[in-house]
Amino acid sequence: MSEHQKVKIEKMKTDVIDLSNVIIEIGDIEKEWDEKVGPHPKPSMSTLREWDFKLLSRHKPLYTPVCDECCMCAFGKCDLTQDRKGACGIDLTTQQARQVAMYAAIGTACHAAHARHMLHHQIELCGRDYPIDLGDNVEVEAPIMRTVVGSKPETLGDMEKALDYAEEEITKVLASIHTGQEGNHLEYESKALHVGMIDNLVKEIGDIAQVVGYGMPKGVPDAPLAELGFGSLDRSKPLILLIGHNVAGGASMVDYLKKHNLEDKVELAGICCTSHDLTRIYDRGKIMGPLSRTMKFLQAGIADVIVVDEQCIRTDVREWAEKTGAPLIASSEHNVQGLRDRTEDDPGEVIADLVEGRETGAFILDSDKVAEVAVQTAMAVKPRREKLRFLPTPKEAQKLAKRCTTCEACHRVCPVDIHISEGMDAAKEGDLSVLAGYRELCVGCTRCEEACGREIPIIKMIETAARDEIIKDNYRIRVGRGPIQDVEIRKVGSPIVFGEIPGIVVFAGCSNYPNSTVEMAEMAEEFLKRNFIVVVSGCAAMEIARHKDEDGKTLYEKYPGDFDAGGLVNLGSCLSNAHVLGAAIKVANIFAKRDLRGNFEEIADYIYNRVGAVAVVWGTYSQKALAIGTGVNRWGIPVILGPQGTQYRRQFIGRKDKPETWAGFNARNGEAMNLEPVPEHLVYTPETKEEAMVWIVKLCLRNNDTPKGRMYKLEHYIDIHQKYMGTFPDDIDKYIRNKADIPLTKKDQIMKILEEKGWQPREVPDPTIVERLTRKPKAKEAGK
Amino acid sequence: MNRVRPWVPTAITGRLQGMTVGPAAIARTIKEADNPILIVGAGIMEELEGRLADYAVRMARARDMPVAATAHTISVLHDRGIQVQAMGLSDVIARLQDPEWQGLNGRPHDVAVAVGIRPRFLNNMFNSLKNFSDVRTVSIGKHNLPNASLSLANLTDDIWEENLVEICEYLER
Repeated sequence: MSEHQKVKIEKMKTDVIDLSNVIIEIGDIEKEWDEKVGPHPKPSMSTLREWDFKLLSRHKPLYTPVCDECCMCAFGKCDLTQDRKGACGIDLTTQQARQVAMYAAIGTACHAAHARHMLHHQIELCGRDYPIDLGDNVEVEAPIMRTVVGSKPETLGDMEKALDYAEEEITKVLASIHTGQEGNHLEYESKALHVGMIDNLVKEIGDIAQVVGYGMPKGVPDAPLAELGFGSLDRSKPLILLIGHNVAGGASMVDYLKKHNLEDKVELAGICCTSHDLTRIYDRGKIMGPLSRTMKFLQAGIADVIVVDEQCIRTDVREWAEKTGAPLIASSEHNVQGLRDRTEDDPGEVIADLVEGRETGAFILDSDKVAEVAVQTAMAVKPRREKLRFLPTPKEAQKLAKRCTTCEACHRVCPVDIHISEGMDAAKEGDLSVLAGYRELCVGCTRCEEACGREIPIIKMIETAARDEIIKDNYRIRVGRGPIQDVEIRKVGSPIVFGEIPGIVVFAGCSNYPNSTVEMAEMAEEFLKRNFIVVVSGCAAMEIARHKDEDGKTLYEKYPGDFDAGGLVNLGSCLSNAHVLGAAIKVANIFAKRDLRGNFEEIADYIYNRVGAVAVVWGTYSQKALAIGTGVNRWGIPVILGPQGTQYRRQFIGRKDKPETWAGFNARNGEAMNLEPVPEHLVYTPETKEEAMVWIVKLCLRNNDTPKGRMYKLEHYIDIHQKYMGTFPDDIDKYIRNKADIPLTKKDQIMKILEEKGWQPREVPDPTIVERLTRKPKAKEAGK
Repeated sequence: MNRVRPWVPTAITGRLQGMTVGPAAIARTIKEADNPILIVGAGIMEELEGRLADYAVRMARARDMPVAATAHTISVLHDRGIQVQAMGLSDVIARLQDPEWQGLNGRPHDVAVAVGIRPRFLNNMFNSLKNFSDVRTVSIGKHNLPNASLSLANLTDDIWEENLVEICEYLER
């Protein structure tokens, strides 16, 4: 939307001026955009706090401190237990909010740095003027950027200013966390929401840059299927394992393999989001699995070369690379791993050092050199690595199990409560089946091994026990499609807003699951069958692919990739999940004709009251996942966290039993009124998958649902409640505004409940929580 | 009463930790409470081969305690013939921190007793009550929780069951 201009005047003479060799440089020129600027372009840290406070008055923070102290300054530790204050005056409530803001800022900074690197890289490859072309069906190319920044990017270079803005806001939020500032927890919550919104923005910029620059799928619903899992590998070929999130190095490897006709000779596979992005640019790229699989692959020593970039990588990757003799290449400044900088060295020398074992790894910042070194090294070390074996044999596993004293130290530290000693007891007798069963429960954190006083290699033993299953691990996943098309929004906008598509359920985040990994797939299929739109990204998208039905098909093979009822939409990596928020914004813009430009509050109010979307982060782990969730919260989208999510320290809990906390307005006439208690919570951690299912459908209720839409949603709510809770919901009266909302198949039962509860019909307003967005009658305004 | 290492070694969140006690102290606390609430989690369906649900019901009946059925436990408790309120654990904890909340039976609760909830999850939730409310918390799970005002030690299933029987019998007196 803005551009630099340089004009050189060699000679100009008029009546009043005489110039020669003058250079005039103009910083930015705003390009024409016929949408009026809204009230909040480039909102600063405190610009939208009134909006935040509206949300926070409805959904109050519930804090679950993981630490009752503060150790952030040199006075510390300060005991903040109960109502004690620290040396700086901070109390425990404010400290919790401060920590949430800090973690959200860390997560956002990660995405921002990733986006900045990707944008620089693409500008280097393609040029600043390279057009942002997301295909014929995407005209609203950057809905988050349009709304938050108030600019409409046409070229890669146009996105630089938006990133400048984002980085400034992240710095402000980080600065506010310094000792001796905010004394009010709500102020820090507002800052967390602000930096979360910035997270949404930078992810959108990063993904658009890579989609455009690398030619990734541009919102294609029928993107191809990629292979996932250990069983998809051709083990006769050298394997380069990419771990992390930034695919720049992987992309250069793809170019190198193609240029040297080595595509048939080398396997290129990844763990975590970099593998999603690899499959978006390379049809032979493989996905090994989500973050939770990292240690299992590292310990098994399957990689001939390991290339790490940034974010969500095991910090002991070098140790395991060395233990398994796999050369390690660090390709990002964020994660150098103590390796020598070989960026300026001749690739041949680096390859020789790695192949001949003079060095165990190299730090290389040039992605083309990374590619050459990785490919040539993998090919050279493969023959000698073929003979190596790192997993114990079943007999050896039995012997190792005999070391176990059943002290339960492993059980006590296991985040998913696996009773490991039971598996060890069975293994002592030669029965490895119990250990094998742990494979789908284990999230690969290795805390059990750290706790074990007998140095039992528990993860390796589980892998050995499950070896027959691992070899069969071969699944199909739809390649990340990136943005949602405008034409799709035109089709689903009305049914979403009026409630006839009962909801959009987003499964995102990491893989720190509370129970079996199969739960994600079970939840996704439940809602696919019910014609919700199911959107996935990141590790969650991979985990959902790791389960097949009795016909051997994954959900991606059973359900279409359209953004439509019953569609399973894989957006791609963490960066790509910005597009689901983009879709909600596009509903407001394309379907409801709301202006986006610098108009955050109106768009968020629209989404909060009209777009029945809910995000599920069942395997909560990283600060990035917290930033992602907090970001969508600011737009009014609720987030369900797995039970481990209480470790994030804060939920946003509404009170349906307190009608006065749901104050809002009827936009038709400006009348102040209590709206319905929907969505009830903005962040909620259920205890079990079954409870989560009920909350998913319930958090899709919106004030604006039409009678038909509300009827559909309640039908699902009642049905899911009966299926998973075994009972009829006891709060149905709160969501029935008039008799037209009552599901026909349950009418008699509901009418009886309504009579017992003394229910009265209620007006269905045109809901808003922002008074300035109401259309007050002229007479009323004149009287003021 | 003695200090016991918590089941989850990193579960200690600060200076203030609850007490590890035996079944008699727990039973007495519940009995002498003004208006206790029993919070029952998903573990009741699996622990002690389902008998944990029976003990929970027995305690609720003996003390006439209103029951918050968290997760998806409501039908299991209904099947055992008691009326309960389905309510997520976060909802219960949020309400217990609200001095205006009139409880499940029209009066504020002074003691929250929990069973069948995973130790990490419950320890975090109880820390919320420890720091932001006057409600005393009691865990009758088999794992020691430092953030409960009162908690049993780390117990084997056999001893845990003996403790549960003792608590039930005391409340039934």
